[in-house]
Amino acid sequence: MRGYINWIISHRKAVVILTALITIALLSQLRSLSIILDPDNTLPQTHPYIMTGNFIEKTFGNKFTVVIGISATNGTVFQTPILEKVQRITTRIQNSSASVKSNIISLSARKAKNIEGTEEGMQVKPLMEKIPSTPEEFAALKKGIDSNPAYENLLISKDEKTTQIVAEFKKIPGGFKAIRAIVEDAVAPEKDASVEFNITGITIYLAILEEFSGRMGFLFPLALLIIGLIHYEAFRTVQALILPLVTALLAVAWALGILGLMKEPFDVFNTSTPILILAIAAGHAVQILKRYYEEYAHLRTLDSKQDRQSTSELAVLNSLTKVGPVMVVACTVAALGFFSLMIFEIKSIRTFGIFTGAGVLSALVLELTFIPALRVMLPAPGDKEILRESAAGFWDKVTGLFFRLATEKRKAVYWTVGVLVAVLSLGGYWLKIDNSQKSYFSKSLPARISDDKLNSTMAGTNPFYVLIKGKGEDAIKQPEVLNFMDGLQNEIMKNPLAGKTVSIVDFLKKMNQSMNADKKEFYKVPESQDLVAQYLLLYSNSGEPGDFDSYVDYNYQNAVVTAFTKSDSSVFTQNIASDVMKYAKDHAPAGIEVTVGGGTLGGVALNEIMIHEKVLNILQIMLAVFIVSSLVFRSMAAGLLILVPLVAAVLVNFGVMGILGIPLQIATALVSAMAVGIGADYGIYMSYRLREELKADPTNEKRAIEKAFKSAGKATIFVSTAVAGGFGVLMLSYGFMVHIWMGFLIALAMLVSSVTALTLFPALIFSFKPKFIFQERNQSMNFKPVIVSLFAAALIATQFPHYLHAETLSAEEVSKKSFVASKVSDSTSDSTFRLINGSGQERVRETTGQSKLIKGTTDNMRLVTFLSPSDVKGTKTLLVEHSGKDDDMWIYLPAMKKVRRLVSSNKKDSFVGTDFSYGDVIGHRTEDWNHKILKEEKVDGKDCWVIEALPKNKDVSENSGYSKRLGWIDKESFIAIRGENFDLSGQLLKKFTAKNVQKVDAANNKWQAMTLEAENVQTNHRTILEFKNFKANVGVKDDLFTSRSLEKQ
Amino acid sequence: MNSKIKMTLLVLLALALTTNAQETESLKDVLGISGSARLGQWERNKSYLDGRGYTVGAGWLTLRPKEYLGFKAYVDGFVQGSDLSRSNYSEGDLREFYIEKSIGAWDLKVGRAITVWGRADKVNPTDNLSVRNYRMLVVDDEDQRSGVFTSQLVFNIENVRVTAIWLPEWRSPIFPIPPLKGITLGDERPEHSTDQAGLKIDQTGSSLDWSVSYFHGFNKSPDLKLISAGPQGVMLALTYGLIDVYGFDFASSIGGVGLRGEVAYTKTKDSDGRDPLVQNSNVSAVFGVERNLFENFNLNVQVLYKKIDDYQDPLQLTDANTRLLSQQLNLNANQLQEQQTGVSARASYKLWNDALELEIAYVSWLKKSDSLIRPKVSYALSDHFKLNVGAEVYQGESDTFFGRLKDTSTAFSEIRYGF
Repeated sequence: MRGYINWIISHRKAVVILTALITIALLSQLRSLSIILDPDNTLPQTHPYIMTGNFIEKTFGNKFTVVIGISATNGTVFQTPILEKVQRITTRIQNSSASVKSNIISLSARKAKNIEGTEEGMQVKPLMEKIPSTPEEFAALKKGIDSNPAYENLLISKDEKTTQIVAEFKKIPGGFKAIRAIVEDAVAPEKDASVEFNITGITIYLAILEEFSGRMGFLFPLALLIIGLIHYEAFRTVQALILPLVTALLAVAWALGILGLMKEPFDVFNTSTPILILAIAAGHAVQILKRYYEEYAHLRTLDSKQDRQSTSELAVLNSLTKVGPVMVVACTVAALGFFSLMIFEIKSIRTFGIFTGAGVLSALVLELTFIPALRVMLPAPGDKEILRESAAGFWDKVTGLFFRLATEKRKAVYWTVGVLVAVLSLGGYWLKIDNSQKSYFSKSLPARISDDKLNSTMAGTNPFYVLIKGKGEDAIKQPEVLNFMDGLQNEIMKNPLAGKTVSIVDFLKKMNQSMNADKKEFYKVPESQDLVAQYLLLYSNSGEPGDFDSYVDYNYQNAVVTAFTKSDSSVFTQNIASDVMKYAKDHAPAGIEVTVGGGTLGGVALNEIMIHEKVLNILQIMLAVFIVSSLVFRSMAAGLLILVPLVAAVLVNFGVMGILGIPLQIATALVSAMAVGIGADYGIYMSYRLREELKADPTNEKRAIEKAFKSAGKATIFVSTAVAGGFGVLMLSYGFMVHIWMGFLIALAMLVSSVTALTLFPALIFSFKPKFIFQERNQSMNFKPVIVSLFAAALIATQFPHYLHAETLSAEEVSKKSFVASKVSDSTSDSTFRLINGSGQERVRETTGQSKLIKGTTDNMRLVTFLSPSDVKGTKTLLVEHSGKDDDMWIYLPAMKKVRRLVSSNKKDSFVGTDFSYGDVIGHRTEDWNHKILKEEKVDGKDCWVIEALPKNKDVSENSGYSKRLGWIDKESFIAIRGENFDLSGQLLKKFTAKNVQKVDAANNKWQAMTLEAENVQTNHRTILEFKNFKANVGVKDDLFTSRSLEKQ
Repeated sequence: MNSKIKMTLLVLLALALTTNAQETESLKDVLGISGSARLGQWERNKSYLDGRGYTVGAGWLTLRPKEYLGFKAYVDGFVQGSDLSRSNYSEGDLREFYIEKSIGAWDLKVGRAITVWGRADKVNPTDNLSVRNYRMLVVDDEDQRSGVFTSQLVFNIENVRVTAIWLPEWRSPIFPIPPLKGITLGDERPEHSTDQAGLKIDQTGSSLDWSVSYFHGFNKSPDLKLISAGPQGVMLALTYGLIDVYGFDFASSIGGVGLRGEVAYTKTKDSDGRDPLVQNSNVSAVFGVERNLFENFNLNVQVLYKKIDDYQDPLQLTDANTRLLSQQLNLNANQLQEQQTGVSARASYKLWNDALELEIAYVSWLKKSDSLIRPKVSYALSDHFKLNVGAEVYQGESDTFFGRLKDTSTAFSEIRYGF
């Protein structure tokens, strides 16, 4: 360590410059950092509830909804001015480009239809064709509403005092706040004393979430200030105030850059994590500085005539030599703990693990490079500064108190701390795991108040969905299926907290009634499928095509039952979902698949994952702490003792959460991981310093121990105070419970772990006198495991025909034809790849290539020779595809003068640095994906099927790097002329276009797009591939695809 | 700056500019011109000089003229000044100039060429055909290779290639050897320098690539010979003994894991191990795995093994001079124990659409910290300009293979203009 620090000191300028360069390079990675605002994207995407939810959102809409409640202050809403307001607001929202026009429902919406029986049969007309003004017209409107039970409690409350408008919106550039602004603008002109507006819905909550996350703009500087002030209090010098903060800010910047580099998205739950890194990094910097000042003062005492700057250099050298190794251990333990969270399926927790782990490692690197380099470049402290720093103050008194408690009053410590921890832990019995999204927000917030009002007066503001999947077209039209759905709805309504269910069945029952002279006994499912079909045909004569889009898909193969409930508690939703599934198991007709998902079931999915993984999470970090500590101190006792403050912190945290009714959910779950990760430091520092002081002063153990307390103990108090203070500012985030809980719980965890580390931990050490402190003090520490662990951490970071036939082709068939649409028997071509980055800089790669299909297969052999740029000129690649197993790849590099076999790439790997992956170039095997025709539309004047491809299993998605692919398949050529591929978190990753599609083999109907473009929307990088001289079926020989060709210059 | 280097760089630059111009496009195509102008800074050189900070300027040129009457030609050479700020000295080499011709299943190559055998990663016991200038300051270690005059005939049967090669030219490799006080070191060329030939049967394709090879020629790792010893000092010569190398290698990829291996038995003229100044026969083996761990991140790890036949510890030699020479010989040839094991690892990570490449290579002989670490960062500023920054760090005690090179540990940076 000494040689290394010497090297750093002698290359101080280079180290500072290199730090600046790395910082710039990592900051440049921030452009790749995607920020997820929609919390749904942080949900475990492979959970059945989430998969069903995604399917429902895609097929039936209803993702970003806003509910506008309009309540009459006097009388009912059946007043002309109030209904005019409803109409005007509905019109304004319909006219907004952000709204999904087909998914707006209100009394005046076109979608709200009155189905009634007439002498001629069934009549379908808008519920409110014109605003009623006479008693007769009001009576007619009321009758229309009453006779269509589907609208009861959905459009108008039972007491007729409230009506609501439910509108669906698309994502727009300004985010959810912009949608909220549109709604508020639509409502604002209508506000007067006659009505009260209550606006709620998921979109409104997301807008608030956006707004609250933005608070980090002032909370972060405030945390910085508080941490700075605590440091100032610790050292009373400006240098010591600034240096740790600069280091900490650099660590945060590096961690963000690394996150961008790893293409891990950032989400709203992690907006407070920079404070954690800030606090940890600053805390470690304090440990070093504290030691530096001690050494400097000591050296000055020994030789006050020595040049100050030389003394300062020696102090840096001595201090870091002593504190460096323990810093490596402490940071490794913390980083490993955080990195171990990467195995979690919940994206937020994974991001947290990577981000914090990278932050801790960045801090470590900076502390062992930048701090010593900068410290020796700064002027040496003056005598006054040293006096100020070493003067005994408040913190020394606190440290002295802990020393006396741990050494002289051990029994009292055991009783007091032990009993306190035990009692508080008991609160864990009441701990509830509940992911109610609304609980993120204070009940006193206007949005929560509005929500509560609408929730109590209308059907309920907490929807979840039941998906009914049939095996073929018109499956939903079968009476037994419809009767099953009807029964299912009744089953849901048995739950007292269920407010309403709605499905296509409600409308079909009403149609049946209408066709039977509106007799009540005919308000039931039609008796035959033919009858259902006839009713729907009759309906279509007067209704509009999109009226039932929210309830059933175009082919009547899939339907959805929407259930509105009064509670968004995930425990409640889980119970009601279980009831649904039980009913489905007992009653679903053959061939019908029933799943639940979406809405409040997102929270249930999170719960299930968290119950399963939470214990694992804590145990995992603790295990990492135990193993590394045991190895480093060569003692299992050391590993166990260091766990004591952590166990205490976790138990007390859960206990207090139980007592105060704070639910265990994503945000609060992260607290235990943080507490364990940081808390391990204290025990390690104390153990290390105790050993060191006992070794230096073996004759007087008490004096040595007291010295250890004054140094490491004091530093522990500084660090925990800084972390607690930094996070404490989150409690100022009024109304946002996520911030408030985190601020409180982290402060609590820091208090418990530091107090335990300074009382219970040393008391146990003095009682048991473990060998690793008292007898093996002269043994050197074993740092090999730390190096091994760092490698392990690095590995973990690793550880993805013609349109006439349209009606007869399934999505699978279209995809199969598309897969082979360009597969000519052989070809030669020249290609130019233009790689263009976000700022327009362009790099060009020219190649010439040959391809040939392996006889009897659809697998190609491809030989590509690079012609430019100069550094790759003469490089050749040979790729032999194999369906169902790994492809074979070889490369000839002119500089190496030999052919080298390459490890077969994952399909997701970039193809020679372009934005096309190998999978994009070779094609994705149809058998690995589930295909569905979403719709048909024109692109560039060509009729296309829009095919959605979803991976059949996790391996396929991980290997391809895509969770979903959308392809616009040209009906004539079967070439995908447009594509959109989504990454594993469901975010849009790449857009593809294919232009200048030419028929290259008329006999076999083969086509080739001569210009292909792939754009990575997350990095703004794109690649344009242009083919020149493309010739098909020219008789390319097999022996071209051998090593002989590769080796020829 | 050295005027010759200046001139060369200017010519290369002019050539690059003219060849990029539209009107001379055809000339560029016909001659297949490519190359680079390089300017770098090295902390240390490999000649054990005391100085620090070496400015290295070089021009590299490659010609791949268009095929003519079925003949293909290839020319590659460079001029390099390795201390431009202090010295006018420059070196240059026409590394390769040869013609190739294919007739049916037969391929013929004649001329100076670099021939590389072996499928292991970087450490290749069967690679005995080309020579290297290990003192040359280059960012890519493959650029240290020099070709020798070669006549090569290859017979191709589908994926199998049978290669017969004759190397009638001898060129001595150049090593970084620390100056020893009172010792003068010379280089003694082999007497029958045309006596080098090899044979290889190679299969590349299908799921397993393999080859068996035989080489008869001179050891590229030299022996030591005492020329004279007297009051003026000791005069030694590097000599290159005849060897026979029997080799086998393979490479495959199973379930996304690449497997590589290479074994060579090298029989030296001291077959019974009695001559302490001649290297002993030995077996060298390399086995490794390779995997793309995540997107664009490749990791290659290999185990190295070496067994020396009839190994004799030089310390047991009674004659002090012989003992000293034998120790030095064993050190240069890395024959330090009867059995030696080591590891090598190489990780590379490509980012920003291959614009940035991070690579770190590590080789260690697991004794006395004997190791080499070579980190390198390459960033393509544009299609033409590339920035390379890296270091070569030798570690170990002075009596180890890499440790003896400790004083040549260096950091380097280079800007390269390619055309």
